[in-house]
Amino acid sequence: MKKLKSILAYLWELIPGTKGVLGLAIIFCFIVIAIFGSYIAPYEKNYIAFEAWLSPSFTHWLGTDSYGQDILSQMIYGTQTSLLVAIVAGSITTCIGVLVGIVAGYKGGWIGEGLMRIVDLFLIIPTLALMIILASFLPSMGVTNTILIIGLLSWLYMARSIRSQTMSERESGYVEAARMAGMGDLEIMFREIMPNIIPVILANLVLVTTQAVLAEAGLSFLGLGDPSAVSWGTILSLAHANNAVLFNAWWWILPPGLAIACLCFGFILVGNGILDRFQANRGNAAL
Amino acid sequence: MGLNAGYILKRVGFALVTLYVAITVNFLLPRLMGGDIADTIASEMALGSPEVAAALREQFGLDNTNLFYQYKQYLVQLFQGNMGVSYVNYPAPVTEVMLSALPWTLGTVLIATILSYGIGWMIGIKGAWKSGSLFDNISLFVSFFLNSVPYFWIGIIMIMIFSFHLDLFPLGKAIPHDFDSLSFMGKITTIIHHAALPVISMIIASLAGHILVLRNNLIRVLSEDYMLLAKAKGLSNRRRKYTYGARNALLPSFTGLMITLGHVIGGALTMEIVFSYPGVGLVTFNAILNHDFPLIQGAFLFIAISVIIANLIADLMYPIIDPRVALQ
Amino acid sequence: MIKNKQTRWLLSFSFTIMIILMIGCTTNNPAISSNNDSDGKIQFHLGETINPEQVSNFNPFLVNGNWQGLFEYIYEPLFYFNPVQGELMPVLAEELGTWSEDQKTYTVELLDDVVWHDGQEFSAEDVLYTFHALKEHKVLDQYQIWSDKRLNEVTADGNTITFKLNEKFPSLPFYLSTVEIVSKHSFDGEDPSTHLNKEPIGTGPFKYKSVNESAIILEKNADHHSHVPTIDELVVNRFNNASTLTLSLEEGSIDASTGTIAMPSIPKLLENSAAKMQVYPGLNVFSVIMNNERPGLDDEAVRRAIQLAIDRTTLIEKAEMNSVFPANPGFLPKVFNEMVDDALFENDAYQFNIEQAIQVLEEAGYTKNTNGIFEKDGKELAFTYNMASNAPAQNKEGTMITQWLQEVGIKTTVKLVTWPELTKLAMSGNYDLLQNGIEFPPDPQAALEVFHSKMTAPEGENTPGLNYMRFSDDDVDQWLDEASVADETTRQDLYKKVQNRIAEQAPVAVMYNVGGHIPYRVDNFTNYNEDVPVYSAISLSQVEPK
Repeated sequence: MKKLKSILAYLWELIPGTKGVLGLAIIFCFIVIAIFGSYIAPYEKNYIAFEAWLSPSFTHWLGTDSYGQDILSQMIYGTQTSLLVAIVAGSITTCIGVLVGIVAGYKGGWIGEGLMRIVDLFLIIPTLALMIILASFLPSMGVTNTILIIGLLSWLYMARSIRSQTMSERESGYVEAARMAGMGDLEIMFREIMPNIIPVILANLVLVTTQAVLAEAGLSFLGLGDPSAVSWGTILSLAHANNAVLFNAWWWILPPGLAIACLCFGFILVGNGILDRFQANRGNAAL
Repeated sequence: MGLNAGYILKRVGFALVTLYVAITVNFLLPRLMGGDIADTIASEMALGSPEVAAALREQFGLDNTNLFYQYKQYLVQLFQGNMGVSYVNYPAPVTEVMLSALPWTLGTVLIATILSYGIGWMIGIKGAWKSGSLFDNISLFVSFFLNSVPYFWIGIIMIMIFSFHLDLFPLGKAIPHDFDSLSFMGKITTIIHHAALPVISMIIASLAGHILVLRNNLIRVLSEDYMLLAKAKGLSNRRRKYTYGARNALLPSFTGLMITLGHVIGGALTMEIVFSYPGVGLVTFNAILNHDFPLIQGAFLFIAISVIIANLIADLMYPIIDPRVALQ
Repeated sequence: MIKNKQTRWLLSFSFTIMIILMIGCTTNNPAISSNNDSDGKIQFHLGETINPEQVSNFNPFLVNGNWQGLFEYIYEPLFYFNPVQGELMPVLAEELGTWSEDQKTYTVELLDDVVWHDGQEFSAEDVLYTFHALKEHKVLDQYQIWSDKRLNEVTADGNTITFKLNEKFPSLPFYLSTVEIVSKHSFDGEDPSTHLNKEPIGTGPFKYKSVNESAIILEKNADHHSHVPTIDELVVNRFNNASTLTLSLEEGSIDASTGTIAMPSIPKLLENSAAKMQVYPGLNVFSVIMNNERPGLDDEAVRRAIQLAIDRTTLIEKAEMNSVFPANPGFLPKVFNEMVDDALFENDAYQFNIEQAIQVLEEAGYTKNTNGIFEKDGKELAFTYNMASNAPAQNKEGTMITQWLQEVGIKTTVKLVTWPELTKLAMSGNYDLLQNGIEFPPDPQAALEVFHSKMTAPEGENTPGLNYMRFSDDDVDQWLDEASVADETTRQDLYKKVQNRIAEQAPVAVMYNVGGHIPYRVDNFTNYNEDVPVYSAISLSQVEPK
C-alpha cells in the first residue's frame, strides 16, 4: 500500500504545472464518462426509433441523427470505445517502441543498426495506406483488430526517440558503474536505464495515445472500423456519409470532432508538462 | 571538406537496398489480401460465368498462379518500366492512370507543404524569440489544439461553411466541367479556385507541427553559448535572430521538410477523399477497395520511390549545409 | 545574411501565393449551372459517380475501365429494356422481332435511314460485326448468348437480321437488349477486347464531345433517326462520392443523376419543391444470403426463423428512405409483371414476426440456453454475418438485422469486408450469412435460375452461377428446366410454383428490391418522360428548358 502511494506520488511529481493538471482533468472527465456511460446516457445504445434529424432540444440535448438515434447517448457510448482503443493501442505501441528503442540504443552495433534500418524501411510505407490494406485483408474488423492494427504500426517514431535518449544515457556514469558491478545487459537496460528515461517514455506514451485516437477516427472515417461498435470516429463517418452537411446538422458533426480534439488536447498537455519538467531537470530530450 | 566518397556510397547503397525491399514488399502486400479479381468481375458483370472468369484471368496474366513466376515476371516487367495493366481500368496501363492523377496531388500537396512550413517557421521564430509572451502562449495552445483535431473534420467543416452555405468555393472536383473551353488565365483561375479549400485545410492541419518543432529547436539554440556571446558582442537583434538563431534551428527541420516532401504523394489520401479531389490518394483508395493489384503496386511504388529519393537528397545535402554531419 | 534574404524571399513568396488564392476566391464561381452556357447553348447537367478508372476507355464491349451508363446515350441496342414498364421497346429495330413456328429462329427488321455520328450509313453489316465480336471473344460475351444451347448463327438479308438458335430460348430478345451495336468501320482492324475506342461513334441521340476530370460532355445528334434532342449539350458531371453529388443536386448545379444519391438525404432533398424522385422496381434483390450447407443453416426451420426476423418495411423506411421496392419472399421482383406471384408479398406467413420465428425454432426442437441463444444438441445458433465495408446504409441495415436476430435468439458476429471480397466469399461458399444484392439480366428465367442446382458448387469451389446459397431442390430444378423451353402461360405457372417453394424453403431472406431511384429537378427543365427512366436517352431527348 505504501509502495503504491509512493509510486503515485512519483507519478504526480512527473506531471507538474498548470498545463499538466488541466490535461489530467480533461482526461479524467472522459474516463468518468466512459466508466459510468451506461448510467449517464439518457437512452439505450443503438436505439433507433426516434424521429430522424431532430435538432437539439430538452429531450435530445444533441438532437438525433438520420437513423433516429440520440446523438448524446451515442457520444457517451462512443467515449468507451474511443478511450479503449486509445489506451490499449497506445500501450502496445509503447511496449514495442520502448523495447526496440532501448535495445537498439544500448546494444548499438549491428543489432542496433539493423533494427533502425527496419524502422527506416517501414517509415517509407505510408502508415495510413498500410492500415487500410491490413484492415481490408483481416477477416473481420472488430475493435480488437482496430487496436492491433494501430498498436502494431505506430511505434516507429517512438523507437527512434527512445533510442537516441538511451544512447545518451549509455554514456552516463551510472551505466558505467553498473557495468563495473557486473550487471547483465538486460538488467542494465531495464533496471538502470529505463527508470531514468521514464519521463521520455511517458511523454511518448501520451503522444502515441493521441495518435491512436486520431488513427481510430481516421480508419472509421474510411469505413474500415467496426460498424457494430459506436466510437467518435464512426459517428463522424456516419455524419459525413449521411450528408449531415445538407441537413445543416451541426449537432451531429461538431460533437464527435470536438470530443476527439478535447481528449487529444488533454493528452498533449500532459505530455508537454512531463517533457517541460524533464528538460528543466536534465537538459535536452529528443522527442 | 563536405562530402566524402564513403558517405555517398553508403547512402546510395542504402537507398538501393531500401528500393529493392520496397519493391518486394510491394509485390507481396496486395497478394496477401487474397481474392481473385477475375472471379469478382465475372460475378458482377457476367452472372459468375466460369468461362468469362477464365478468359479474364488469361487477359490479366493470372493464369499461372505460381507466386515465384509472378514475382519474376513482375521484376522483369518493372525493369522495363512496365508496371502492368490495371484490372479495373483495363486495358489502360498503370503508368498512364498514375500519371494522370499525379499532377493534381503534387500541385496541391507541394504548395500546402511549402506554405505551411513557411508560415509555421515564421510563427515558430516569433514565438521562440519572445518565449513566454502572450503571442507565444496563444500560438502554443492553438498548435496543441490543432494537433488534436482529426484532419477530415476540419475538411468537412470547411466544406459545410465555405462551399455549401456561403457558396464561395466549388464542392469537390479540381476543374469546372467547361474547363476545355476556357482561356489560359481562366483555366489557372479555376484550378486555384478549386484547389483553395483543400490546400488551406492541409495548411491548417499541418501548421501546428511545424510551429512546435521550430519553436523548440530555436529555444534550445537561443540558450547556447554562442548566442550569448553574440549578444555580448553587441550584434543587432535582427542579425542574431535570423543569421545565428534561425539558421541553426532550421537545420534539423530541413530533414523534416525533405521527409514530408517525400510523403507528399501518400499524404493526400484523406484530403482527396473528403474534397473529392482527383489525385493519387483517391486512385490508391479505390484500387484497394477494388482489389486492383497492379494499380495498388503502382501507387505504392510511386510513393516509395518519392520517399526514398527525398531521403537520399536530404542525406546528401545535409553535409553540405552542416559539415559537422559528414565528420561523424 | 544569406538566411535573412531567404526568409524574406520565403515571406514574399507565401504572400504572392496567398494573394493568388484570394483572387481565386473572389472570382465568380464559374461552375454554377444554368440552362445556357456563354454561347447560349442549352445544357442539361447530369451527375454521376464516375471514378478515374471509369473513363479509361469508351468501348461498350468491355465490362471495366468505363462507365456503362454513358453508352446508353451514344450507342443503341436493337431493343431497349424499359425497367419502368418491364417491357422491351424497339430502338434500332422497326418493331419487336418475330419467332418462327418451332421457336428456334427469331427475325428482326432494322430501321432504314440510320446514320452513324460520323455520317456513314448504318447497315446490317454493323449488327453482324457486333454479334460476331461476341462470338469470337468469349470474354466479351457477358451473358453467354453464344453458349452451346443458345445462339447458333446470326445472318443478314438486306435489312433483316435472323438469329438461329440451337435450342428454344424464349428470353433471347431480353438478352439482345444488353448488346449495344457498334460501327464496324470504327472498330475495323482493332481487337474489340482491348480497343480503347477513345472517340466513340454511335447512332444514339447524343454524340461524344470531350472528357476531363470533372465531366464528360456530349452534344446532340442533329441527324438522329427518331427523336433529335431539344437540348444542345448533355454534360455528365463526374463525382467521386454520393454525398458531394447529392449536395450539388440540392444546390441546383446538376439537374439529375442516373440513380446515385445519398439515401438519408432523400427526405431533405424532396422538401425542395424543385426536386422530384422517380422510383421503379429493378433487377437487383438485396438479401441476407445464407449458406444452406452450413450446420444450422441446413435446417429449414432456422432459415425460416431468419426470414421471419427481418422487418422489411422498417429497412425500406429507415435505411432506404422508401426509395426501393418491397422484395418478394419468392425472390422474383415486380419488374417481371405477370410472372410474379403477387400474393406472396402480402402473405402473412412471410411477414416480420419475432414470436413466430421463436415458435418455429421451438417446434423444430431448439431450446434457449442461459445466454438466451437457441441451441440443439449442444450446438448454439451462432453465425458470422458478412457485409460490405464503406457502405453506411448497408452497415446500418446489418446492425438492425443482427439486432432482430439477437431478439429471436440467434447469435451473429459481424464481419466487414470490401465489396470484391464479399463476392469472393459468396462464390467460394466460405461464409454463414452474407448481406449483398443479387443482380440478374432482364429475364425471369435467369432470375429464378439463381436457385437452380446447376448454378452452384460444393463449398470451397467457386459457383458457376449465382447460386451462392448452395441451394438445391429437385422440383425447382425440374420446373425451371421445363420453363426454359415452355410457352408463356406454362412458364407463368411454373414460375409461381418455384416462387412459392423458395418462400417456403427460405434459401435466402430477401430484404428489398433495388431498381431505380432517380432524383431530378424540375426548376430548369420540363417534359421529362416518366414512362421510362427520366435519365434515359429517350427521356433526355425530350426534355426542354422551362
